[in-house]
This record gives sequence, C-alpha cells and structure tokens, in this order.
Amino acid sequence: MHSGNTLLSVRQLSIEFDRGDRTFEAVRGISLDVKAGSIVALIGESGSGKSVTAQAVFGLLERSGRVTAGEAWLGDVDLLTRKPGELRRIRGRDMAMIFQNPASCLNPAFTIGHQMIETIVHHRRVSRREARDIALVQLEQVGLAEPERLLRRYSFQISGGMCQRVMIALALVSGARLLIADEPTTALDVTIQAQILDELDRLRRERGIGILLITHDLGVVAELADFVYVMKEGEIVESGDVYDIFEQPKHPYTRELLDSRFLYERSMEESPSSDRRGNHAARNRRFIQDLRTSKEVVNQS
Amino acid sequence: MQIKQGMTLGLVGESGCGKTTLSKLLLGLEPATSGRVTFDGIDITGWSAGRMRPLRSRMQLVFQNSVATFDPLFTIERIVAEPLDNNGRLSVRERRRAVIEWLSLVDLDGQVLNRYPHELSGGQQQRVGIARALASRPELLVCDEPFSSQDFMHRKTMLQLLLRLKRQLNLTYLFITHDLSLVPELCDEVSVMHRGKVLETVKGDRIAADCNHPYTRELWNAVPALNPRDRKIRF
Amino acid sequence: MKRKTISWRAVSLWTGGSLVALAVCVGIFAPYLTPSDPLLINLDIRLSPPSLHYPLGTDQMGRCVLSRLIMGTRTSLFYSMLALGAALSISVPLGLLAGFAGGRTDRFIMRTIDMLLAFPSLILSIAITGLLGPSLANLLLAFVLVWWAGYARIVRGIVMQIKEKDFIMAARSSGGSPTQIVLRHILPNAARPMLVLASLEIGTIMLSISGLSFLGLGSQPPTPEWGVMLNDSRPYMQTIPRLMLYPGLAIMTVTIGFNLLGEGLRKRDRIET
Repeated sequence: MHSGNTLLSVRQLSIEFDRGDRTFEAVRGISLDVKAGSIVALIGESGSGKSVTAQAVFGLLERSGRVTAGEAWLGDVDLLTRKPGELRRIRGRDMAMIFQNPASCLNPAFTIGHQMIETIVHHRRVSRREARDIALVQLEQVGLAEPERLLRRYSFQISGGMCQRVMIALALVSGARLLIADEPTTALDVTIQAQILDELDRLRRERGIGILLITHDLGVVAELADFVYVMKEGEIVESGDVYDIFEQPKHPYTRELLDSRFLYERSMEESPSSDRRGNHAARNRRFIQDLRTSKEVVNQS
Repeated sequence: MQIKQGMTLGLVGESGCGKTTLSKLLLGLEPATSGRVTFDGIDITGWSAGRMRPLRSRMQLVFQNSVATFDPLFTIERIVAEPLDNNGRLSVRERRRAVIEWLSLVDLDGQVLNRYPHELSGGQQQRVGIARALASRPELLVCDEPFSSQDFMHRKTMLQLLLRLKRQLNLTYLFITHDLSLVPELCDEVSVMHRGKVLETVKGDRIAADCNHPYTRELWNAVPALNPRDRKIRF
Repeated sequence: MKRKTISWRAVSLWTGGSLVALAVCVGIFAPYLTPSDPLLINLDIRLSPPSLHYPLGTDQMGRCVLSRLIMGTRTSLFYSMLALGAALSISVPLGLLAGFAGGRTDRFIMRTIDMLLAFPSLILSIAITGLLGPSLANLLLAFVLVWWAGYARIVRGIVMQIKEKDFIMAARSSGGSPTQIVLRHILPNAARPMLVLASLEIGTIMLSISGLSFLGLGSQPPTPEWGVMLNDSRPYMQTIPRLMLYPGLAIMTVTIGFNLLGEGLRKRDRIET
C-alpha cells in the first residue's frame, strides 16, 4: 500500500503570521509527502503549526498569515503560486478538506440536498437532476442510509457523525484525489469516531485517495496512519512509518508525546499490555494475527 | 449508582445519553422526576435551591469549557475567591492569601491574580476552574468531559494534577466522559449509560473482561488502539 | 478585514463621543457661552441676518438665535437625561426581577408591559400630556410612564440571556444566593449592553421631546428649546429658512452623536465578549 505515486509534495514550507507589529514564524521549512492510497498523519500539540500547514496547502490561510518560502506540488501544479481563482477550481476538483466541526461547515438555512446539489452543479456542470443522483450515490457510498430522506434535512437535524459523513461525501463529489482532514473526529463520540475512521480507511483503499490527517489524537494515528510526521514548534522533528514511530521513536519529543497516552509512567519497551491495560491488549492480541494477514492482502492489491 | 468516598467513578456513554443531566441532578441544579439522590446519607431529592446551598459547597463541578464559566468582568482573584465570598467576609489580605494558596495547589503562581480570564491560555483557565472548585472545599468533584478535546500531553498533565489533588485533599471523583480510553487507568469503577439508563457498573481495570452488556463492549471496541500493532479489524 | 472593523468602530465611537461631549459641555457652560441674553426681546432688530453681534441672526422677537440654541442645548439634554434616568430607575429593577425570577413574577410584569406597549407610545404620551396640561414637567412624566415599558422588556431580555451563561451556573454551584448572583454577576454584565441601548435611546427621547415641544405640548415659549424654536420659526419657513435650519441641525447633530456613540460602544461590546 505504500507503493502509490506521490500525490502531494510539500517542500521547505515556511509560514509567517503577523501578531500586532511583530511577525511570528509558525512553520519553518517543513517538507512532507502524501502518496496516493495512503494516510499520512501530521501530529503534534496544538500550536505546533500542523493546522496552519494544512490551511496553507489548501489555500485557506488567514489574512494575517503568509507563506514566505516553499512549494506544495499537487501533481504538476505548485499550489502556492496559483491565483485564488485557479486555486478555487483545484480545490473543487483535485483536493478537498474536512474539518473538526462539520455542523458549522454546513449552512443551516439550506437543506443538505440543496447544498450538495449546488456544489455538484458548480463543479461538474451537470443538470440538477443528474446532480441529485450523484449526491444520492455519494451519500450511500459514505455509509449513510436513506439518502433520499437525508437530502431533505437540515444540518441541525442530523447528528455530528452524519454531518461529518455528509462533509466527506461533499468533499468527494468532485472526485478529489487528496483529502485533507483536520481533526476530523475530535468533536465526535468514540463510537461515531470509529465509524468515520473506517470510512476514511475505506476511501483510501477503494478509491486510492491520499489523506493528510491532521490530529493530536494518537489513537487515531495508531488506528489509521501509514506514515507519520511529528511536528513541534513549526518544525518536523521526526518522520517515519507508523510502526517505527510507535515502536522505536528516536526524537525525545516523539517519545514524550507517545508517553502521554498513558497516565502512569512506563518504559517504551514495556508493551501497554503489561499492566492495567492488560485486557485491552489481550483482546487485541487475537486481532494482531488477523491484522497481519489482512495487511498482506492489501499489500498485494 | 453509588460513589464511595475516596474513589473515582467513571460515567461513560455517548453524547445525549443523559450523563450531563445526571450530574446536574446530583448537584441539585435540575429536579428529578422520580427516584432518590442521597449525599452522605442525607436524602437530597427535590431539595430547594436554598436548602441545597450549604451542601453544594461539598460537591463541585469542573466544567468542560472552563472559560465560559468565568464571569468575563472578574479578575482571576475574584473568580477563585467567589466561593469564599459567598460564605462570609474575609479581609482583603486573608482573601488574597487564600486565593494564592488555591492557585499554587493547581500549579499557578500569583501573577495571574489580576488578569482576566480571556488573557490566560486554555490550560491556565482550566487550572483556575479547578482552583475555584477546590476553594469551596468540596468532598466530591464532578468532572464533566474535563479534557476531552485536548492534546494528549496536556490532558495527561491535567489528569495527573487531578489525581494528585485527589490524594492530597482526599477527594472523590465522578468523571463524566465519552472516552473510554482512560478508564482503566483512571477509574476505580465505571458506570455505562445509554439512553438515560445506567446499564452496568464494572471495575475500571476490568472493563474489557467483566463487561456483560453488549453496548459496553461496543463502546470499548470503538476506542482507538494506542499502538498500530493493536489495530482493529475493519475490512 | 479585522483591522477595518476596529477602525470603523473607533471612528464611530470617537466621533459620537466628541459630539456628545461637546453638547454636554455646551449644556453645562451655556450661561457663560451665550453672546447675549437668550430671552431678551428686541423688536427693533427682529429677523435680522447674521452679524458680528448676532452670529446667527435674530428671530421673530429679535432674540439672539445662537444664544437660544446654546441655552436650548441645556434644556434638551438635561430633560432627556432626566427622562431617561427616571425611566431606567423603573425599568432596570423590574426587568432584572422579571428576567431573573421568571415564573409568575415574570408573567405579571410582562403582561403589564405588553398592555402599555399595545398603545403607540407617541400617541400615549400626547394623551397623557393633554390630560395633565401642556408643560415640560408633565411631558417628562408622560414620557417616563410610556418609555419604561419598552426598556424593561429589553433589560429582561438581556438578563435572561446572561442567566443562561455557564458562569451563572458556576456561581450557583459555588453557593451564591440569588441576590448575590444578581448583584455580582448579572447587573455588571448587563450594564454595558444597557448603557449602549441607553445611549441609542437618548437620541430618540431628545427627538421626541423636541417633537412634542414643537407640537406645543412640552416646553412653553419663551423657554429656549430646540423644538419650541422650530415651531416658532415655522411661519418663516419660506422666507427665512435658516431659522428652522439651526435648531434642526442642532437636533440632528446631537441625535447622530448619541447614535454613533451607542453604535461604537455596541461594536466594542461585541468584540470583547
């Protein structure tokens, strides 16, 4: 699954912010790659610059911030040099973004259907009737039952999990190859979170979409990511395969971050299953074997 | 449901299952339609606000969004001192000394005294929230989703702080959360709520082994693994 | 974007503030500022054009228009504030009570207010003044009786909004009594929006007092008052329009001043909370 070609390539990106009369360097020369069909996690504490990076790539930086150096290649297009109009077209067509608060991304004044159809008509230049059909298919594909009924509802009438699915569906109607997910499940319940994570995982497997996952939740990373970049104070301090990062972290900050999963101190060699989490691990041990086999299946495909 | 003195009870369930309502009910901020609430052996069901007031200082809430629970016109000193002001007058110096004491207990120094809530960082605000709760000298602390949307690192510091305070002050905790991942380490017992009902109560560190209800299992299975080797099957 | 809003707010606040401050200063120091006696009638020089001695000319009785304007500032401002103050002293406590207590108390107060508000306020004040006889004091009384209702309703709204905030629940759970909560949290937090409304309102009150004086229901000639001055110069609207222009401009300036001030305060309020 790591054999996909590079979808997004960020090189030496630096971002500055105006804070009153001072400038503040939020991101300092970071580079990262997202391959098609892979999930790349960018992790770090709040304020480490991970969200800002995503916003810059997506062209949604606040006005007080600006990119001072670097490139962000999506295919053969450098996103950072494009004009806003062009970028808007690329955003609709090649990349999409989902956010922490899906409900606030939908307009409460219009039905879900109205918003989806508008978007589809705008990006695909199809009739409203066709757009409606596309919307129905998309909603079904992100695991929403009764899409017909859903189209007639308003964002405040549906749950947060459903909202996030609608956002994913909306992000995908354009056929985006790159999905930027900024804390997509932080505001959701665990059960819903698990479903959304499943959904993201399915997208990458079935559609070969590359996902840049911005999160502070190490559980989400452990569940989903293939490759991990660890960010601290605007710089990437360590990067590597998710297994390497979790099992052999090199940078002290990564180690500290991983330690924060547990309340009680333990050494890294000790597996989390050794004490109070025993049952969790025991349950999971069963799965590991299956996991390995299934991983092989994916690798072959 | 019971909480014994000195223990930590977790109350878990999805949003909208009635966790927060239950906590308000315990604190007498909302009336019960049936059933009984007892605190320290006293039946407090249906007590009027006036009757509850002296008891209220013995149980305190730590809120999820602490900055919203501060009067924006108050300095940190006044915020923390509010419970003190409610129970009789202190001299300015005594009051200040007490406030500094409570703040130092949550690792904040006196510099924040004259600041306003919006000038503090999120972490500092939460500490102030805890300090204010402690200032009424409670025995039971109800924490409603205290640090659910925060960095792991920050959450860890705050939870360690709460655990330390618990030992220092001999507190009893009720932790309301939708996140089970910390239950084994944090809670002595955990009650699982679904659609307004408590389904079962199990020992915190035995949650995976001892749970009987399928819903508990479903919740537990939804918790993300903490290591990529433990990934759950999906496909 | 952000910067722009802030500067707008500042412009609004400072322009309004200085206009109001200017009006208040003129009102306070009016006796020292008038070039001649505003009440001194000199029929020899009636309706004379502006001159060195009478910078804005004289009116139909030969009185100095500038002096009358200056003294009029005092009358208009002073009485509007008096009316506002009196209305506030009824509406704020009742609004607080209704908003905080809720239940039956709230319903009783609100129904009374609804009843009062069912009548158009201007007509009602005219009716009351007509009943009591036209004089400034009666006009003010009429005003207070009519205006407090609307204001109390707004105060109630503000209070109810604050009451729902989390910090009120926090205050309750830390053992504060209702009186403590109202005095310590609700009143100070309500004060700013109430002030904003008051400053928006006072412009309207001034306008209405001038309006009713113009109709002959308020201050009586020869009191220098802008509404009275407008009324007095009505016959000369075609021939000497400046006589109406000056008091009209004065009313407009001060009303705009108060509105800008209120607007500026309102925006600041929104940004800070």
